[in-house]
Amino acid sequence: MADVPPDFEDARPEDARVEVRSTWRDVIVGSNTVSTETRPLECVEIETQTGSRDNNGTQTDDQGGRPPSPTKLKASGLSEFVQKVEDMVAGELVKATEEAEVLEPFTRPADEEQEPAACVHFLSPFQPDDSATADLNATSSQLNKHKLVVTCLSWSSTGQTIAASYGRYDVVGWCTYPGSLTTWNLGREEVNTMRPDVRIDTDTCLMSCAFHPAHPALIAGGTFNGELYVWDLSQEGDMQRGRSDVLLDVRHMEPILSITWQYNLTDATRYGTKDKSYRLVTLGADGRVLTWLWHKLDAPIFGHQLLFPQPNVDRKFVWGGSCMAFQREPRGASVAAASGKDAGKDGGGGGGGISGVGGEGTFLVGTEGGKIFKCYNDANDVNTKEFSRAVAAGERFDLRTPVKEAGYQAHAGAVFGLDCSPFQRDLFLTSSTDGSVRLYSSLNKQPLLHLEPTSAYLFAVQWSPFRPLVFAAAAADGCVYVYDLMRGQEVIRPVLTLDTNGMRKPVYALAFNTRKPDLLATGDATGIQIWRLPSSLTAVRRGEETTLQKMARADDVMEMLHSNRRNR
Amino acid sequence: MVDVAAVDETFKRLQSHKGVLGIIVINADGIAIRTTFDNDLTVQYAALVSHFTVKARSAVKKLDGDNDLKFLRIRSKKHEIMIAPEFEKSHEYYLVVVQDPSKET
Repeated sequence: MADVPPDFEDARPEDARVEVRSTWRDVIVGSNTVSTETRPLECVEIETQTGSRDNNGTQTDDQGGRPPSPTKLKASGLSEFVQKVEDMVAGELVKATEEAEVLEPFTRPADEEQEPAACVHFLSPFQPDDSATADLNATSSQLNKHKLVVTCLSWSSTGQTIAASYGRYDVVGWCTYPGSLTTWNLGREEVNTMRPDVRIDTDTCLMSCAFHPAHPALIAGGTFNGELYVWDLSQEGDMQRGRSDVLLDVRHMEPILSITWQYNLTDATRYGTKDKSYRLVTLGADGRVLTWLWHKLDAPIFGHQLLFPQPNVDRKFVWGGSCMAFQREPRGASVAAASGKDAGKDGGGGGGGISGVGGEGTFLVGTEGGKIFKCYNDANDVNTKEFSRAVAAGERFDLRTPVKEAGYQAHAGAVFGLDCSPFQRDLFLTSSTDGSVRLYSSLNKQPLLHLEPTSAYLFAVQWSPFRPLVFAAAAADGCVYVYDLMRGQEVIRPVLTLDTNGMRKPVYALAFNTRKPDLLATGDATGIQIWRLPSSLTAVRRGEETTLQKMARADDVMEMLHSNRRNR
Repeated sequence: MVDVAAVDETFKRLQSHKGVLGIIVINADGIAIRTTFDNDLTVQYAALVSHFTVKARSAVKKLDGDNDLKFLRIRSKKHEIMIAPEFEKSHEYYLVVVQDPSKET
């Protein structure tokens, strides 16, 4: 822009006034006052009332309670349809059975591998003796001062609770050690493995225990002195329901080693309730087998004594029993067949199954001398009444012997474990301190199988309640040996060995859970271990029961098992 | 009139096969017409199987319009369910057979 000099000039407005508009002064508002008013409202009051009343009701008519008639469906063409598809369906049915047979070996894990069992719980009411982290605040009842061991295990009828009786096996003479009964409910989310849910202490060692097969809270226990207790775990406070009289003549004077609950038809009809339909049968080391009514424990209602002559000696004398098991009628066996066929010496087992024919049964007893007796408990109405009368009158009399058959080949050591098969009435297993497990048929004198899992003593043996050919034996070297006869091995060996404590402390008791197929409990000097078995030992295999039946009738079991394996 | 005797005969023949647990005949509305099971189980089977069969049939037909479902077999852990359907409008029925092939007679 070129430098143009500014053009300043003077100017003189005409009226010599300069007006600058105001930027802040606004126009002044003018105001006016006005008022309003609402016109008054008009109100009127009026009443109404119903003049006349009338009652009326409605209801649906009931058609006389007839059940709805089965719909008359249009079923035309049904027979043609069925005939048309029948052939196709029949062909498919046959194909399905063939396929199942062929594919069956592939649907289960191979026989050679065996999955291990897992220990899911370790229960103990006592502090472990040799733990470096011993709790100094432990109460005296938690210390195992008397070195008690587990003597017997029992699962409840629902399979939820495990009970263990504590005692000692090495007592000489009078027992001054206390015992206890401890139970744990494994159904709870939080299982306190150091503190049992129920703990009942007894004056002397508790040597055996057994839960009632139908009532989940009733449990019977037998002590070292021969006393029999019945407890009801569902009661608050004092749980003892009964205790046998210690001053009677007819009682156990030595440890009660085996307790069984026996179903009795007369009791069931007389009392009606499930828990009273069972009687208690106890075996003591004094050779006495006594039958009791659990709700009237003051005196037994019947008794036997194991009298049997020694070979080459005329006189009969008492044998000390160490284990007992009743023969069990397999589930589904018809009662008619049992009673008809066995009208002879066998009364047909009545172990809580469907066949409650009288409930008295054939039972097998193992003795400390190694002999095995087959006995019959004939406690019927007549002689129990006579017995009770004699006991009440205080008469002295001798107990008769129940032994019917004693020719079984004896073990070389005391027989501590005996169990009858739940699937086959005549087969039973025995285990003894000579380290052998034997399978006998009650009809043969010679054992069908003789197995030696270990050289240590064997304390217990039990059949699996789900697989007919599986059983387990507990040994003094701390191991439990599980056998599966279905595997068809060349030499029958245990398929699974459970090492319970790793310290070679003897395992004294074991129990399969009858409701949950995969649980097995073992008890030793350190406590109770609950194991979960692999499915190969719990799922029933095809043809297993028939193999078991064949085994009962076979002359040579090993040959039969091998040929079975070849044919499969 | 439905020939009851012939149908019964066929049922008896099918049931005599190894491992057959029961037979049901269901109509198009999912109602069981003939059955050898008890009532509750039959009602359950009828409802569930008819839905399933219709679904299976539609799957087959959608994949190929000329195709149709001829037979259906469901193999479960415990047993085998066999369904023989008939889809003609006038008589649409399903015959259901439940079998446990590994059962010893």
